[in-house]
Amino acid sequence: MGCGSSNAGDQLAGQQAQQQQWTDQSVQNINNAFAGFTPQFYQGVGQAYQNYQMPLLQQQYQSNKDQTGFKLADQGLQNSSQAQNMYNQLNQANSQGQQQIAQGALGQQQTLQQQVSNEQANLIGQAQTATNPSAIGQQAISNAASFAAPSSFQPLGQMFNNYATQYLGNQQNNAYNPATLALLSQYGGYGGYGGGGGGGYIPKAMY
Amino acid sequence: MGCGTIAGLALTAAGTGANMYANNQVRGKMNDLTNQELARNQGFEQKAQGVFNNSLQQSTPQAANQQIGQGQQQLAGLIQNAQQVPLSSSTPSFGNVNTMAEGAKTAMSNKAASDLGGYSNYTLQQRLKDQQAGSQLGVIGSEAQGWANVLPAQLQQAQGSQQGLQSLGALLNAAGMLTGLSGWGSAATSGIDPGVNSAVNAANFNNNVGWMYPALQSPGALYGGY
Repeated sequence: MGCGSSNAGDQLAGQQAQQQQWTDQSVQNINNAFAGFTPQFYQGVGQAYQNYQMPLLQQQYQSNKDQTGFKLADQGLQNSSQAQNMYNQLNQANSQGQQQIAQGALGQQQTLQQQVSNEQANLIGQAQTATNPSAIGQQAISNAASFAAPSSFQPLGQMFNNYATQYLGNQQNNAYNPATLALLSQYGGYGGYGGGGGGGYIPKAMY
Repeated sequence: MGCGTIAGLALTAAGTGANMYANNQVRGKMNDLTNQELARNQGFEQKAQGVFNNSLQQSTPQAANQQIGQGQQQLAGLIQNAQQVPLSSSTPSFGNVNTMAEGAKTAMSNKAASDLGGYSNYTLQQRLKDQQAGSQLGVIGSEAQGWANVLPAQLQQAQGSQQGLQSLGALLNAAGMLTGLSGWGSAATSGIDPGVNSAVNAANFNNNVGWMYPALQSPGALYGGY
């Protein structure tokens, strides 16, 4: 009489209340661990990417500018309209490179933001069954720190490839093209037509 | 009606009362538990509704325009920063270089790039807020499910909580029946038609609620209707 009445309901309710407390505490710990990932942090990452890539772009720009100058000088075209066009194209390529770096910086920010959010969501998923909020909090701190560490960026690719292929490469080929040389010889070389101290007429076919 | 019969009726009535009390207690407890669970569930529902509504508010056309605009500004700022970096050496200057046209081309290209980049911010922000809402709803759903799983065990426990009183009621009923039978035995010897008593006894005994008076034989009447 009265013996054997189960208190399984109370036990389960107690366990559930405890679980809820652990889950809430774990979520709190996770959110605290990821609190440093503010918009300013992501902007800093973008800026760091830009700061890393811009000197590389400048280096490439300088190299292509030098090559352009050498080629133009070699052909006596330094002050020609073609020189103007080539430098304009070089500057356009440089602007596009700068744009690409800016887009890359934004991409870096956004990728990192997505990764951080994925990791946070993953940890919160684990928190639903967590029995040790401290442990999950430690894990969150560790994971957050791995994102917060300075990123290593991929080196910049060849940003002036198109320019070099289209202008420097073609010009080089054309300079040694016997047909071109024969054509040019009719006008007395590069500086022989158009006057104006090597202003230079270049047959359109060359480009 | 002999003393035995009266004692039997009294015992049966006591048993019935004990059973009724126990059943009422069980029913009340089960109702309380169910109501508690319903209230808790409503709390979770409200919480989830808040999270969902908050997420929904960030999916409006206005929010989309704002996020696209933010992305465009962000990328425009980055491009501007990149183009402010001085070149390592000055570009050769030509008298007839059309820098204005080149500048206009660059500005158009920059604007097109930043306009396009704004959309990537919109999709990212939508993904992030969906993920965040999903995580929050996951936690709420998990907790709600956990409590829902507890209810059956609590109801079972409530059902068993009055087991002692219910057993006492059954015992009293049985004792009442036995005493009544012994009363019937003495009544038989005193000339009362034993057949009448036993028929009444048999009709009035109900397995579920014990002994009932004929007027209250309908369980609905006894409990005021289910």
